[in-house]
Amino acid sequence: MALGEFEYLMLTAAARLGDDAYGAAIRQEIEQVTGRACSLGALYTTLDRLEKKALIKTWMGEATPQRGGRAKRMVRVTAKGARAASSFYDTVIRFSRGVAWASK
Amino acid sequence: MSGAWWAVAHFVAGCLDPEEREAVVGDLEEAGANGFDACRAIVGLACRRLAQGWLHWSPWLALASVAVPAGFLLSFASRWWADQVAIDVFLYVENWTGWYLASPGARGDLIAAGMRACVLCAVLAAWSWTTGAALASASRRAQWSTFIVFGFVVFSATVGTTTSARAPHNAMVLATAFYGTVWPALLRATFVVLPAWFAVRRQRAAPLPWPQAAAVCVGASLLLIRMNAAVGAALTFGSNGALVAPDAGLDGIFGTVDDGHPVSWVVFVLMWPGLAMLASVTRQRVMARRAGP
Repeated sequence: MALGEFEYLMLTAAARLGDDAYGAAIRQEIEQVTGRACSLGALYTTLDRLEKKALIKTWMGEATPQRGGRAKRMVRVTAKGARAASSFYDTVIRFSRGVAWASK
Repeated sequence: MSGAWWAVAHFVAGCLDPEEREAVVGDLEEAGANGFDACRAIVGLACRRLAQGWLHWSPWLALASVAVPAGFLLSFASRWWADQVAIDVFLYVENWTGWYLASPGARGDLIAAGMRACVLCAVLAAWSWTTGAALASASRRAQWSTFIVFGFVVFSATVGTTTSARAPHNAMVLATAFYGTVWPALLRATFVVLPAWFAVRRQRAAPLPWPQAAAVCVGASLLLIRMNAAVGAALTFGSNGALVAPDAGLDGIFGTVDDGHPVSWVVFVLMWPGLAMLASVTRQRVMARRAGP
């Protein structure tokens, strides 16, 4: 299963967050680690795409007061999603061997 | 100012699916986004969703088969009927006396004119409602954009045309700003665009169950058949004879009770949005049954 860079970032962020993975948390994780802005539009359309590929599973979670009583869209990486992310990571590592920026 | 931006953000969020709206607005509130950023984020997501919807064939089909043709027909029918009702309203308002109520004959005429206007408005509303429901059923993701195209066609299709050429004696009344411009726009907004908008919202919240969809389709079709002559006249600018050959009946005299009243084929064309809605709801029902509990 071919992944794009942003899809990989989302899978990795969701895997790292575990049971606390949901839209706002994934967005914050990506922005903190990459230092790049992550738009909600990109986030939610990518979530849909990943779910359609069966790489993640999403469901509506509980509402909290700091969200104005609104529910979260919870995310869990599926086994297929974990394999796809692992394969992407291996490809990047293998392909990067010997290049200047990889040996820094 | 931020409150105003948040209000706009909530309004735009109405275009999103209910669950997505809940999650996205919640995320923005949790992140402490200001109104402008929230608005920008939601508009961005709504635009992406809109663009995504048009990658599928169904919105294009809904646009070509329902939004544009039904918009044209409704535009012409609503303008013709608006002008007809405008003349009645003008005559009664400008010449009002208590005699209209006191005289049994005049009172009967007044009630008949009122009833005719009410039935025409009901036909427009039912026809528009089924059109809106057909648009929403055919393409969930692009329903608002197809609805906007539909609304645009309804208001713009008759621009530059007039009904006065067919009925020159009405030209003086229809040349006034109120009866010529405001009245038709008001009638279209109230009995064409608003019912279609309600139908889109209704189908978006929860698609109509099959029995109700069938009942709406049958009801709208019966109304159209009942108003067959008026529909034909509206769409041919009063020259209904061009579509339906007149039949004088057994006595051979036009205008008597035994005249034939064949149903125009135009009416069956106009049933298309209702049938399209029913077909779409039936398809969803079959798919849900196949998917199982």
